[in-house]
Amino acid sequence: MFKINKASIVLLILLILAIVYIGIQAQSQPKTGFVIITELYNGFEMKKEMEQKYLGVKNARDKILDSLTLELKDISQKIETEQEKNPNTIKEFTTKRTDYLQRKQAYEADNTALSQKYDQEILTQMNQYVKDYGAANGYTYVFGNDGNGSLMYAKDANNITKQVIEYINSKYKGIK
Amino acid sequence: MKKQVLFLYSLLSLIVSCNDNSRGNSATQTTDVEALSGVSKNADILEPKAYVAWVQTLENGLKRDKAFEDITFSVQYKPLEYIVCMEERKIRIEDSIIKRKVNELSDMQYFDLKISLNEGSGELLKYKLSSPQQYSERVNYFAFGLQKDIVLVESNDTLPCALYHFERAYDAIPSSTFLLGFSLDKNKQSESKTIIIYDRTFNKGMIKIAFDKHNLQKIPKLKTI
Repeated sequence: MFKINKASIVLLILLILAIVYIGIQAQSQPKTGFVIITELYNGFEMKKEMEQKYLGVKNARDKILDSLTLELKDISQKIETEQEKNPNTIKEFTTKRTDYLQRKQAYEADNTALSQKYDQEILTQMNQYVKDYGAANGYTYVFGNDGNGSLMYAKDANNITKQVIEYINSKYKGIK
Repeated sequence: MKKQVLFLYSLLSLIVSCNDNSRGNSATQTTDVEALSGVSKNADILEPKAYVAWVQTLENGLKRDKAFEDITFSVQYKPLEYIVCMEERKIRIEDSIIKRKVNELSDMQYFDLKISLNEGSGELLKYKLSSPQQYSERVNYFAFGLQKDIVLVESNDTLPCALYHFERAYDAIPSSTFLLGFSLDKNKQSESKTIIIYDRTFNKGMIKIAFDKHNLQKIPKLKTI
């Protein structure tokens, strides 16, 4: 075996101190990242699916309203061309117009409520999965950049939007 | 100087080898735990008790969770042998019983869905109620309506929930369990599957829970007598 002289001991102590220092530094600095919220929201599979679902419902309702509008136009033209106004046709027109207006109002209210419901569901899942991503990857903070000034500057290197989109989509699909 | 460098190198090697040893120890511990529970990741044939434990172990991928802050949705895939083991509750089961019962069940695939509150107690159905009337609506929905909001996606097929039973727990536990059954195409038995639940009660929306085909293909065999 070889002898341990003073220089070796000093070198060893310095090495240990350096390792301890690096360890403390690494632990004391919080890991941070940020996501661009609009990109995250638009890249979230659930948002795309719910949007399709919402459009399906909205389009079906629009079609019903369109056919009612067409019927109303037909009756209206019939009334205009009639020399002697038929009270039954006018009554039919009034009834159909009331029905149309009531339906239109109800559909608009339902569409707004449905859109809000879906938004709420999407945000609930998105927020949960971002939290899961932060916890799984040891982040202290994950900031959201939504362009309202709450996050004025961050290094591009800390932009984790892409990774988070990938993660939240796997989570949504139930794979992770 | 050469000696000093050699000394430092030896020290670093020692640290690295200690680290490796500690990893090795944890691996040994895992193996010990597996041996104690009778469950091995590489097991091919298991006794009923170990088989049940294997199916219920999260790491084996037949039980999947989706946790939100307040509520967790959990789905257990139930191989037919597992159902027989749970019904029989015996240390050893005769081969004839297994064959007969598996044959009786073989036209469907079965899952358990569990919805539970993460904290607190009381009945799940009473969670965040906005009115007393909503409670009876929820009971009714869980008993009958939820079935229509559950499907199984297998390859390109979307299968409706053909068998549904709601096990009501009242105030005993803060969770509710649903037994689900879907028709089975034997050619797709080990294909990846995704259970989709549309949650209307707790406003979580579309819940997807996937079962990977690799996990379904590595299900061990049940040891019989």
